[in-house]
Amino acid sequence: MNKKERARQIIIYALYITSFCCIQVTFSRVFHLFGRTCDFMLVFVVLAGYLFGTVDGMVVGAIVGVFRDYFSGPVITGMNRQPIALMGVGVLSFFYIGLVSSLLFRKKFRRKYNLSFLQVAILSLIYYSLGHIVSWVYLTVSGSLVHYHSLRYIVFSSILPQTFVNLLAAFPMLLLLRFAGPYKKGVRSSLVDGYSVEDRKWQSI
Amino acid sequence: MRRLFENKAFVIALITVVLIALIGFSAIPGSPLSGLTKPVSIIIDPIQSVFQKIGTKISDFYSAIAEGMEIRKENEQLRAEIAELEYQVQQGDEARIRWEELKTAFSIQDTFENYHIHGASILTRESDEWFSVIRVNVGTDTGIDVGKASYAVVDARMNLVGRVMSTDVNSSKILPILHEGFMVSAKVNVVNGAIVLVTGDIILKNEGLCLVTRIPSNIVLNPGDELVTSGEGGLFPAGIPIGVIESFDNSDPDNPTATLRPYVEISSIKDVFIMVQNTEEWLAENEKQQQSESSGEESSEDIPNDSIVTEPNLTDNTASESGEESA
Repeated sequence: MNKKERARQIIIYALYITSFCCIQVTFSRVFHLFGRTCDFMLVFVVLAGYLFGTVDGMVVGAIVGVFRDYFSGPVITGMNRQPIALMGVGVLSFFYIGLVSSLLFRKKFRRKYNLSFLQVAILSLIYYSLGHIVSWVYLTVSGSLVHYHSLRYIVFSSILPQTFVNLLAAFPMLLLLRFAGPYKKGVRSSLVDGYSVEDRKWQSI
Repeated sequence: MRRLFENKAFVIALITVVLIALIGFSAIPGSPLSGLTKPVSIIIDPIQSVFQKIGTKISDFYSAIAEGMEIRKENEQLRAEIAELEYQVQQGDEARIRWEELKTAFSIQDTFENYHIHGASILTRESDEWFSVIRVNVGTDTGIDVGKASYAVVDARMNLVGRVMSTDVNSSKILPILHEGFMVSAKVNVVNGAIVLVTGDIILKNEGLCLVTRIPSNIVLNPGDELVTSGEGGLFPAGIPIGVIESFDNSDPDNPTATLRPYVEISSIKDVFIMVQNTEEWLAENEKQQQSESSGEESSEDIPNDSIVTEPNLTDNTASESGEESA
């Protein structure tokens, strides 16, 4: 990667990360459908990992996680029933989302653009399911669980609508990454995970 | 050693351990790690405020078009009202001066007299179910520091919005009233009203409700009963309106519960007000400012000092008015 390509990569990633993160938290009511807000941060990390490899996924994930923690980091109830703002949960979560997105089904999906919707759906399902599980386990272990959402609510009012609105958000983001992304023609010529694009079966639209 | 860092699995494991340690340390109350966000805030806040300004301009533009017709009608009505109000303002000014005199004379205790207020705009809202605090545009640069004191957050009508969780240089995180980590000691707003505990609830927050617990077993709460902050615990000043009781559940007589609908509608508010307890330094500075303002006006307009009613700023005025209402 020459200097020009590196500069393009950094500038475009910086622009997209700040834009998507700020848009999500500033205009959350505008991108609100079926009671859920489009999770641009999650979708962007999934797409970066899926399309452009492990290093991109992890680095973009970690940076987006910093934004997530900074803007609206999670709060837990401490031992003296005082709320405590946690740091690093967003970084850890999104770091792994980027990593998993770059590795999951990479041989089967071959980083094809049309299958990225499936990847977004899968990672959204995993993230929100794990979120509910971790939340339930934490509340149970800490002894502060009075009651939790019903399974029906979790599936039909939380996970599925959120996955659907994330899929809607994925479409314009995918177009941006394809035609105005960090790499020329939306293809990273030397994927870090050792697979080449020479057989033309990779990253085809 | 170098080989070790070339191993991807090792690097990922190392990053994970470091992040888990960071989360663990940040969970310790008063952890210095909370200061880590300050450098981030210097970079992110200006960028975010640009987005907010763009959004506000776009929304104002559309509002101006949509509301243009309505505004024209209102304008006609308002012109008629202005004449009447001008007369009332004259009377109101006299009444206010009279009130100040009476207040001094009878030493009336104003509920929020020891507080002044900082207005703040909401910068960011929740990201998802677990990342759900609010960020506002005032921070340590305006003297708000959670390391030194606790701060109640209210809306323009002095209804409770939440509390300040953490502060950065020019922004702060607010824990909203509906968040499951939020709790406040409340009392029923009647003479010798019962003391109860209002908390956020993971299920009820989706309906915009809070949970009321620790209700004395001999007390029955009725829908419509108003709850205000009790002042117990010292985190919130007493008398801030919280909301009204929506339902009461006495199925477990030893542990009755109720649901409360907060007055504040967090999704629709754009600005909040942070209540800051007056310190001696602030009072001295404020007094100096008032003196300089009054002397400036006196010299320029040659108005007798007795007739000038100084108000430091609009937000302080709000606090004073609300305090008067509560008193």
